[in-house]
Amino acid sequence: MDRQEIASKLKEIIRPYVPEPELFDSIQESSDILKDLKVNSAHLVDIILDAEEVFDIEIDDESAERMLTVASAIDVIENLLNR
Amino acid sequence: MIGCDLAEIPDTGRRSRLNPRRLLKLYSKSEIQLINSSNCPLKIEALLWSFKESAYKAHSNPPYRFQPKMINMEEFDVSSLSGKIRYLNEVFDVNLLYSNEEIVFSSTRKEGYDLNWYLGDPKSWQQIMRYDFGGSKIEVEYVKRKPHVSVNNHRLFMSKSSINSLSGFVWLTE
Repeated sequence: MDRQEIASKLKEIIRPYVPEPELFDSIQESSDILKDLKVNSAHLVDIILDAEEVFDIEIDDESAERMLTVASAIDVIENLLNR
Repeated sequence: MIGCDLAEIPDTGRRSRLNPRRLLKLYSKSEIQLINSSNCPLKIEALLWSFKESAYKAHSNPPYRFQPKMINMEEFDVSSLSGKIRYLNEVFDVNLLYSNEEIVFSSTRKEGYDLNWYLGDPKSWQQIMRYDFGGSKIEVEYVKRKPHVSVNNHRLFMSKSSINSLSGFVWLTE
């Protein structure tokens, strides 16, 4: 799976947790999931769990703690898929 | 430092907040045991989450990382819903300040913190006079430039307060 495909699937995972549609419309790889997209921090774990299900991977705590931007989340998923 | 946080109790998400995989990502074994042994597991889960969040806000130099299991309840008193929580090298006293069927509202202060300290520029308080959270309205009224907080028109006693670096208001009862 290439980075673009991962990004596309990840954005759909994030979408339901973004409180305002216009914030989601402005999503970029550099977007901070909590600060820019205003996802409630309690839902960050749901994004991680959804990503585990969609990509069939297991994201350990050390990897999960870096998943605060879209880009870093893609990096984590890409690395796990390529293992 | 001092901090506060507010968390929703109702389980409205696509995935239950008590989902075992979810709990394992967020909580230690002893914290999961606290949640699962409670008569009100959703309330205790919301409370533990708000404790962790408020401890993060109260920490003097928190790293910007998602590491909820690094913030650990060290003591928890079921009757008073209070305790001690450790985050990195700092220990905080945490307690429930207010709850209804929708929310829990917790406060945190670092052990030994001087409550007479006021931090931040009071002018910036004007930015945070109203805050909606999960259907609950929090209002901050300024009396002599000090914030007084109400949750759903329920006035909370507050005499010491501060502003934290995350743009939220943080405060503590005496």
